[in-house]
Amino acid sequence: VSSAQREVTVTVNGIRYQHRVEARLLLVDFLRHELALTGTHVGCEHGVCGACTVLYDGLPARSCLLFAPQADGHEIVTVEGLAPAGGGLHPLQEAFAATHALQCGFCTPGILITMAAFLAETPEPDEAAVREALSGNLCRCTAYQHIVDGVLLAARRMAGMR
Amino acid sequence: MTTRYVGAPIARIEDRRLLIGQALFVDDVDRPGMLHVAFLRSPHAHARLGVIDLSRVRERPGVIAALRRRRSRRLLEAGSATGATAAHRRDDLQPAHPGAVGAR
Repeated sequence: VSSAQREVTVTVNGIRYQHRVEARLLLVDFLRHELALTGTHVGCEHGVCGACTVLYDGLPARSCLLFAPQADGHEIVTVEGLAPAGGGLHPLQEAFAATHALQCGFCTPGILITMAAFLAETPEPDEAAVREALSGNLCRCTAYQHIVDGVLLAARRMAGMR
Repeated sequence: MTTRYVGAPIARIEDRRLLIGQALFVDDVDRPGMLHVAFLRSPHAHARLGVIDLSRVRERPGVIAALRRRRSRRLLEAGSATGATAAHRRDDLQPAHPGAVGAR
């Protein structure tokens, strides 16, 4: 196992961090252990479940399939950075609470991040598009129906704000 | 008959912290001296357990302890594991157990 160290400068939720890390440290472990941002969850550890999804320069990415040094010079947004400053919630977060789109909540951060990117690209999706966009995130509690409801509600509310 | 709860959506008190990434799951707990652990399950279905040879596991750099079921029943009784290995680094556990269990 290589113990080579790398310098990583990365912006996470608008804050710039400079850390010296092991070259093979996973981005998700960097976020959770080095930055104490434990909202991003480790599910399957091989890119299948979507629980570790973060925004990488605005696009959803599996932080369990990236090494921390691969984020050097890039911008990461985690679930902790989704809500606006000042204690409010992102429309997706509000809609998820309103529609009971979470039970245990373990998959929720990855789903919120994935759906935030999806709605930015597809502001007025139909149900089929939401289901397709959700297909890379596993949820073992809800059977997805209420998650779909939550995403559609958030899309309607965000359209109303524009 | 009317009730407050049956058939009515009930606002959950735990949702906010789950939605903003501030919930505490077991994997989020950070206490001094914590180790990573890998559990060993028998690769042989419905076999009588014969030998667990943990000597090579114990020789691996980074491994703190390797336990078998008889010695660690309380640790392991919750699952179907026959052994467990602990280390400071998760990487040190990756190839820990292959070949450790023999059946007869």
